[in-house]
Amino acid sequence: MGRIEIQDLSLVYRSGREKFLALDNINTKIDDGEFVCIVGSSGCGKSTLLGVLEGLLTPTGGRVLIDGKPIHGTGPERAVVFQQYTLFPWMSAIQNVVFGVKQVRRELSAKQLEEIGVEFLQKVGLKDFLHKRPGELSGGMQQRVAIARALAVNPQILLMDEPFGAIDAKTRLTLQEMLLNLWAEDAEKKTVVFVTHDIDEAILLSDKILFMEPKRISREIPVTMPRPRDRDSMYDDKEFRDLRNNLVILFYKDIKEQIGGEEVML
Amino acid sequence: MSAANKDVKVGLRGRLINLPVALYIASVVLVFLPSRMAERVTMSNPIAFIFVLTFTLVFFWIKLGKKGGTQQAKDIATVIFVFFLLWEAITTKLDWLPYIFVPAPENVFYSYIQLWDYMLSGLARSLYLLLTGFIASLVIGVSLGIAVGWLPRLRQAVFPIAKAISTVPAIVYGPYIVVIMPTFTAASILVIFFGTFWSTFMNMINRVGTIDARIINTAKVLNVNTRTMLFHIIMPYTLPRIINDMSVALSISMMTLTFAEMIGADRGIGYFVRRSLDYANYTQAFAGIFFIAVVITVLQVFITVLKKKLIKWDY
Ligand SMILES: Nc1ncnc2c1ncn2[C@@H]1O[C@H](COP(=O)(O)OP(=O)(O)OP(=O)(O)O)[C@@H](O)[C@H]1O
Ligand SMILES: [Mg+2]
Repeated sequence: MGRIEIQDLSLVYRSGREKFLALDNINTKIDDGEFVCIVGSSGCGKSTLLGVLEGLLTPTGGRVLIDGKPIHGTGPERAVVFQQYTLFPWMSAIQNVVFGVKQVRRELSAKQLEEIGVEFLQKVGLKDFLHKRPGELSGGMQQRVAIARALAVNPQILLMDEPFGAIDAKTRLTLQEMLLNLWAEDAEKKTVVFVTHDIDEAILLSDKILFMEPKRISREIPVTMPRPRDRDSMYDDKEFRDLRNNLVILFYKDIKEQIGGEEVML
Repeated sequence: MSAANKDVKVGLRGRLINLPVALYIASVVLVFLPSRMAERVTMSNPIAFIFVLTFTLVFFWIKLGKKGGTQQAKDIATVIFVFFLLWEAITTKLDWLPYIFVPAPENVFYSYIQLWDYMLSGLARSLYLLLTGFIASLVIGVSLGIAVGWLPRLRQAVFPIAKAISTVPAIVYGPYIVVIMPTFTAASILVIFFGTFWSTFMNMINRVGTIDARIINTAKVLNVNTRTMLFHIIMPYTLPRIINDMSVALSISMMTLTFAEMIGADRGIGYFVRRSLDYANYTQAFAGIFFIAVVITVLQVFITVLKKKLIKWDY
C-alpha cells in the first residue's frame, strides 16, 4: 500500500492574465515502501510536484494515482512535513501531534489520543518536552515534532519538502539518522518522497533519486547500496563516489545553463 | 510572565529620597497653607484630595519595586504630582484663574464623597450599555469577519465596502438610530455596536485573508474540516491581534457611549457630566471627567491582563 503513479502530469500557475508552466508532462512511478528523493536546482518545480502529491495543488493536466485510485485533494493516507514554522504556535508539542490524529480518527478518546501523542514524541526523542510550545523548542526539535505529527496519523505515504533545509549541519545528520531508523523499523514500510538540495543526504536516504530539470524529471537514478547505510564508510564506497560525481555533474550543468554558460565554482 | 514584571529590590532610601516623594510632601503642605480662593468659594474638606495624592504615592511605590519600570514610574509620578501641585497653587493659593470655571482640587475630589452612590449607579448603567454594545460588536464582528475572510470571493467583494463604511463614525448616524429605536437603551447599545463593528469586521476579514499560508496548508494536509479550520486554527491564530485591537475598540466604544449619553440619557456617567455642565457646576463636571478617565484606564488594564493570561505564545 502506498504506490504512487504520476501520469502526464502538468501544472500551470495562473496569476491574473499571466500563466507559468511549472510542470510539463511528468510521468513516473514510485513503488510501495520506496524511499525516493527529488533533487534539482532551485525553481525547477520540486515543491510544485510535491504540492500536487499533497493535494494542495490541482494539476492542470494528467493525474496522480495512489494504489490505482486517482487523488482529489488531501487525504489521510498521506502525511506531510514542510520545511519550517508549521507547528501551531498556540499548541504544545503533544497537542500538535494529537491534533493531526484527531482529525482523521474521531472515535478515539482523549486518553487514547494522549497515548498516541506520547508514543510518537518518544519515538522522535522528545518525551521530556511534551508540554513545551513550539516557541520554547529549537528548530531541530520543532522538526522532530512535525515528523511525529506526520507519523502519528499512520500514513502510507510520507511527503517531505526540504524538512531539514533550515537545520544546522550537525543536527541535520542526527535527524537523517532518526528518520531512516523510523522508516526502517516499520514491518510494512511507508513510501517516502523527500525533496532536498543536499546530494549526500539524497544518496544516504534514498532507494531512488529523481533528478529534476526545470518542469520535468530528467533522470531516475537508482541507489542500490545496501542498507543500513553507514555514513562514515559510505564515503569510501566506490558506488557512492560515482553516484555523487554524476549528480554533481548534473547539478553543475543545470546551474551553468541557468547563469548563461559562465564558468562557475561549485 | 515577562521579565519586566519581576520584582527588584529598592531600598528604603531609594523609596523615600526622590523627586515624587518631595513633590508629594510639597503638595500636602500646600493644601494646608492659607487659601485666597476661600474668601469667595466654600472650600471642602481636603481629605479626599489628600487621599488621591497618597494613593498616587502608594501606587508609585508599588511600581518602583518592578523591574524595568523604575525610571518610568518616577517620571509618571513626577508629572502627576506637578500637575496636582500647579492646580492647587494656581487655583486656591494664587487665585489666578476665574474660580467659577476652574474649581479647586479639594472640591472636585470631595464630590466623590458627596455623590458616590449617585455616580456608582450611573457607572453601573453606563457599563451595562458599554459592555453590551462592545461585546456584541466584538463577537459578531469577529465571527462574521472570519467567515467572510475565509471565502476569497466574498472577501474581495465585502472588504472594500466594509472599509468604506468603517470610515463613517457611528455618532454621525447616532441621532437617527435614537429616533428609529423604541427605547433609548436599545438605541445606545446599537450606536455603540456600530461604533466599532465595521472596523472589527474589516480588520478580521483582512487578517484572515493575509494569514500565513504555511499554517493554512499544514491544517489542510492534516485533513481538517471547515469548522475546525475556522475555530481551531484561524481563531487562535488571530487572537493576539483581536485582543490588541480590543483596546482601541474599547476607547471608541467609550467615546460613542459618552456621546449617546450626552444627547438623550437620563442616567449614566456621560449624563452626569452633561447635567453638571448644564447647571454650570464645573466642580462636578471635573469630577465626572476624572471618573470616566479612571474607568477607561481600569478597563484597559483589564484587557492587558487578559492578553497576558491568554496569549503565552505570541511571536
Ligand atoms: N504560486 C505561484 N505562482 C506563480 N508561479 C509560481 C508559484 N509558485 C511557484 N512558482 C514558480 O514555479 C516554479 C517552480 O517553483 P517551485 O517552488 O516548485 O520550485 P522548487 O524546485 O521547489 O524551488 P526551491 O528549491 O527553491 O524550493 C518557479 O519558477 C516558481 O517561480
Ligand atoms: Mg521548494
